[in-house]
Amino acid sequence: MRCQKVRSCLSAFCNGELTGRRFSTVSDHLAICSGCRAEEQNYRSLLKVGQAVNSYRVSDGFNNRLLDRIAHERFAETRSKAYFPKPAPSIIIRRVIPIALTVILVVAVVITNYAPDSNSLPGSLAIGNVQSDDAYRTAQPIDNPNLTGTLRKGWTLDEQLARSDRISRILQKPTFDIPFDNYYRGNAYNVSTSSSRPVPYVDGYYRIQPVITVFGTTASNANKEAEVTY
Amino acid sequence: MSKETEKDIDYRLMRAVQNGDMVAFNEIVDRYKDRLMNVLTRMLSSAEEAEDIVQETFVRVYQHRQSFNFKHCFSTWIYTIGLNLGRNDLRRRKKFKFYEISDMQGNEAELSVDMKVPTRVPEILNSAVQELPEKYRTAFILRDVQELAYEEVAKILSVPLGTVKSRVNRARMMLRDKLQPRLEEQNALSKGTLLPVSFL
Repeated sequence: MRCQKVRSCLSAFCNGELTGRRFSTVSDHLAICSGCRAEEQNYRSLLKVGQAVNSYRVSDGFNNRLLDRIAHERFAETRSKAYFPKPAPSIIIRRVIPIALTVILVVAVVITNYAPDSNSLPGSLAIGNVQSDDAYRTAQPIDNPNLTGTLRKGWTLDEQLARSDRISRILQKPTFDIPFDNYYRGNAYNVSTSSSRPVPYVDGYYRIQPVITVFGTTASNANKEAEVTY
Repeated sequence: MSKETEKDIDYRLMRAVQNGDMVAFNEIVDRYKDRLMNVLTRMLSSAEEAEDIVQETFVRVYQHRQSFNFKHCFSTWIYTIGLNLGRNDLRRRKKFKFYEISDMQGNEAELSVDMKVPTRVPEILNSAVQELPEKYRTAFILRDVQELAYEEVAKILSVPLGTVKSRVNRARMMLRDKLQPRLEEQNALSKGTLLPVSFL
């Protein structure tokens, strides 16, 4: 170990703060280096001087002066505002908060449970509802499997029925009342409603080519007619 | 008396003080007043200022007795309060230069420690300690004068353990440099290689 390194550790060595390998390394170096040994002596002398230095003490009567001061401060504290009774508050916050929270909770429950639901509107008001329901994409009367009404994606059942109403009015032909329950939906689900509506039925009306053809293949012309009317 | 036992005594006394026992508080004052006085006098180089700070320290201890956390060491707590008050006083004195009346009257007996001309090595050491930079001086006083453990000094000064060791080491080296001629002279006297002047 070099002298510079040893001398940086000498104060710790003299104070007994080095242990293990570092202690033995410094000891071995001191055994062979007289310069570092002289430095070690200086540090040990400094240590002795430090231990012999007089310690300072407080003056006589310190305790009494201190206790007098503390007693004075305690007296002053009892005369402070903290010790005066506070006026009773007009609104007791601790009681108001739970009541306010309860009221807010009740209002929230009422609003969420009793708010009008847009889905329960009558059919006539449901037009324009763009909720997509692929279950109504095709409708096919059971006794005329060739007849397929291609219905618009996104239309509700009520919209589709309203459209069929318009088509039948355009045709101004008597239509058979077929209970709606007989309609077979392309996706094999049963229609839940039991109301019957007049629906366009093309058997025997082949002369009305645009409508029939359209209705037998595509409903584009009928759709256009229906939209023009409305 | 081991450190552990002293700690237990401090805790017992603090519990009594929290319950309003002034006799226990008086005992705490007796245990720590001289230790604080020693540290603060060397820090502030004025015994009167140091005593005021010691008194203020105990007042603060009493005022905040209920907030003392028994997970911490009481000696660390009280030294921290004392040193913080001492530092505040040093900053205040740097801002406004204070003159003591005794200085103007030329009364040497009232002069602060560092204004006396040191002749003996211990006095030279005291003077040299006063000349150390504040952070080295505080670390040196707590470790080598008060003989507190490095860990406790680190907690009091709120610095890492390595920083404390470094500062103490640096303070020792600076003191050694300042005292080297006098230390070598003293070594020579003690070995008999140098005769005192009175024998010549």
